[in-house]
Amino acid sequence: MGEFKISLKEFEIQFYKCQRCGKCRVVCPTYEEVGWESISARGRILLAQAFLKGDLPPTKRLIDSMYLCTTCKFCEEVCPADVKLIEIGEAGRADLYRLKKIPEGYFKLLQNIFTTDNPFGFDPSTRTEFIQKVGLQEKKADVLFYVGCMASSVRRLARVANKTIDLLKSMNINFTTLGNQEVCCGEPLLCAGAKPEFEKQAEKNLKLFQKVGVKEIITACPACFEVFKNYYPKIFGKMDFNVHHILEVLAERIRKGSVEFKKEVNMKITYHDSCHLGRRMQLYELPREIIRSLPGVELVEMKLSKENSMCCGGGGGLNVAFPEVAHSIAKKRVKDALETGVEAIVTDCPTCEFILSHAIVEDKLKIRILSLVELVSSAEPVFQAD
Amino acid sequence: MVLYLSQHDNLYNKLVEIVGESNVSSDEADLYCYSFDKFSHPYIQSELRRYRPIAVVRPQNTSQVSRILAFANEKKIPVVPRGAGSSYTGSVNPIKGGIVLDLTRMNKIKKIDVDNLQVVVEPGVVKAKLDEALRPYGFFFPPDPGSEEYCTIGGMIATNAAGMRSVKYGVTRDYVLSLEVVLPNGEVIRTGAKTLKYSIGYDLTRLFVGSEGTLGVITEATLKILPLPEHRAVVLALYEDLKAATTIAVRLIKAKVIPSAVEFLDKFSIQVVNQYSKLGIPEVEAAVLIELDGSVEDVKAKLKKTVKIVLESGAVEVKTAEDPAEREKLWTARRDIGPAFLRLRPEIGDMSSGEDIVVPLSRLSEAILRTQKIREKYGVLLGLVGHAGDGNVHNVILINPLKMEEEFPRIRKVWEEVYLMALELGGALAGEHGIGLARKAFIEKQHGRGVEVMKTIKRALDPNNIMNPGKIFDLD
Repeated sequence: MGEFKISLKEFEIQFYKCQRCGKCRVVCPTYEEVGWESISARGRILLAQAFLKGDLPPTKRLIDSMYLCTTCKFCEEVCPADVKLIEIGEAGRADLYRLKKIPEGYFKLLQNIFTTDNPFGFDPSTRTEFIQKVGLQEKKADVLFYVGCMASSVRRLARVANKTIDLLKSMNINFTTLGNQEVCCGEPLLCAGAKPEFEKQAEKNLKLFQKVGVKEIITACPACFEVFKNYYPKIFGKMDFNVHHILEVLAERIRKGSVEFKKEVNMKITYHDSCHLGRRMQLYELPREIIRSLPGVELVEMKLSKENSMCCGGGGGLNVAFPEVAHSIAKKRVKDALETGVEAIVTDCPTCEFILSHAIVEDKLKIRILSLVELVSSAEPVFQAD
Repeated sequence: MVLYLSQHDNLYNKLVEIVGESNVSSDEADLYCYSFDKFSHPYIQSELRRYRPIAVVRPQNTSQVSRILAFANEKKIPVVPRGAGSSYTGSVNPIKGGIVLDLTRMNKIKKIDVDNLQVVVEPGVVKAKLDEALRPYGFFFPPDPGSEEYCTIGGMIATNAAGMRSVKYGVTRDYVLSLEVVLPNGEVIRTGAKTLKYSIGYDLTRLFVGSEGTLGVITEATLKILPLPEHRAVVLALYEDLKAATTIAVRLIKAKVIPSAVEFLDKFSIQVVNQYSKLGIPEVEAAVLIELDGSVEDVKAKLKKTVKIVLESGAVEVKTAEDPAEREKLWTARRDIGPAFLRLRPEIGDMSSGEDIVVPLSRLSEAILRTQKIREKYGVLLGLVGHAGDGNVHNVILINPLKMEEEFPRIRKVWEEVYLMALELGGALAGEHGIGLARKAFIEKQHGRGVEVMKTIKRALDPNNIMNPGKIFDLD
């Protein structure tokens, strides 16, 4: 097992690399909301170093500084000095967590995961309440569709899971789900800085995967996807299964020309890049490639897209401890979408969908939001056998 | 003297009364964050780590600034105004404690008045945001510091900032028509007039431009704007002859071609940027990038002329670009200098120091050669880049933070020798970054008795010395 280092002391050199230019501030969604220097990557770096050196106590603002961040990685995208701003933030959270100095909202989240294996605290037996049963459930299978907690717990997001299941079936993929046995991937624990618990959660998952004998995991949640892909190997080293986002699977079929769409969708949409699939996994073109292949779909980009996409407000667990800030960021993102004059926002991420839909509903805005798998389904794809 | 909040029990309440609770902080973490700028690193210039403000306040309008200053003046509490905190000189470090006034909430563009070629803005407007707002009108605010994406207009005025395009468009000073300023006693004045010219007595506008927050707080600025050029072209010229490279701007101007930018990189800078950007620029003594702007026909004519003049001047290679993407490609060499230096030794995590001397154009090659000699003498990693159109040279010096004790005294010597050389050549300590703390020790060498006049003005406007004390010069 590899050693997953996550502590500020690993970043001694990084602290000097930051030139405090402030380029990170102008792209930071939380800084724009809160406006205090401490709530920007530049401020966070200063504070993290002083905290590490024992020159600053964990004051309220210092704790807020580490947690009031969507971890959207826009700051890293523009940093001239290539400072590992996101990892430093994660390490700061981990160090504060060790001291149990975390924002109030996170205690409930952690408690939920510890007791129910999902961040919302719902009874595990209800995990499949809104989700269609998969015949092969709990049997051995090469492919596992990992549903993720968002699609399992929010009724309207169950569509993401159900449409994904439909697509996998129509692709003739022999797959299973973990049903009620599925547990959280651990991403919210990382957001909380709860590194030991994250490792335990990862081990729990790994055992479940091994039980099924999985060779490939497909998920429709970019956060789970990134955690499996980027963080699990930090603990376990090379894993004996592959991880794919459903959009990768779809794109592959489209590239091969083994799919035909039966229905013209006739919709003008904009695409919201989630931070996980976008800046963190660098998959910008892939979803667009899928969108372009759908008959009758017109894509209008927002002024901030791809590398320069703006977070929905839900990243990094912001919604847990600072819901007003998250909500306000979401409203801005919806405004970006409205400016394009489209009828729907399409995204790859159930969390983005959840957060943005709240902003839409609250202001009764004339724009829909749907997942890209839903949009693909509505074009009635017919897959040829491999 | 460092003041602590506990010594001013009613201070916090008073500030809350003026700006509201959510806009005042005395949380140690905030006080720390507002104690540094681009120049001052808490663990490198460790002497600066001791200084903290007693509170950070975020006013939203002139009336709040006025009330804060009146109160601070009465209690003799220092006030340090601050925009983006991207200064290169420590000019926003609260070295006498007091209140840091974060002006970034005052970020409204109040009026875009194209008919009168002007805009009215609050000090916290980010320069790039102003240009974004002006673009639909086909206009822009010409001064273009390298930090334009994040620096504020207030900071630009307070330091008389400028950038690559000064050769054609001048500096911030040239665009400030009128200011609203809160004086240290809380009084609000208006300087100049909202006209493109005026002849109305002492030019108080220019007094506040470059004053680095030592005389009052700028709360509103009326700025001149210009139409965006229709077209641009870029010429990359490579030289083995430094003198020819550094005099190309004057050659062009004499031939009635006024370039919008003339930038140069010395050999070491070319090597560094090649390593980072994989540009494969031949490693000659100097690379010069010339930008031309204007109407399409004008640019095309100027481009032809420029290529001819550049070749005649002894350039060993010339490349041109008019297409935006091609222009960008040529421009990468200059634009990537910052990241290229900062990523040269990733295992070390270098910090960089940027110097900012300016010399008369005819002495530029001498300044470069002498700086290169200073570089050899002290064995420092120093790249020379700058604005060859106006004689402004930036030395990018890399400093290994883990060998600070060994390296920093040497680097201080480099700074000192470079400053003295600039003055000897008839130049100035800073072209566009200001004095702040970094160059304070040399201010008398620059101005001689002139510093006494500055102090007289300072004492007259700010008798209690509350405004950004200890910057530019020491009063006592």
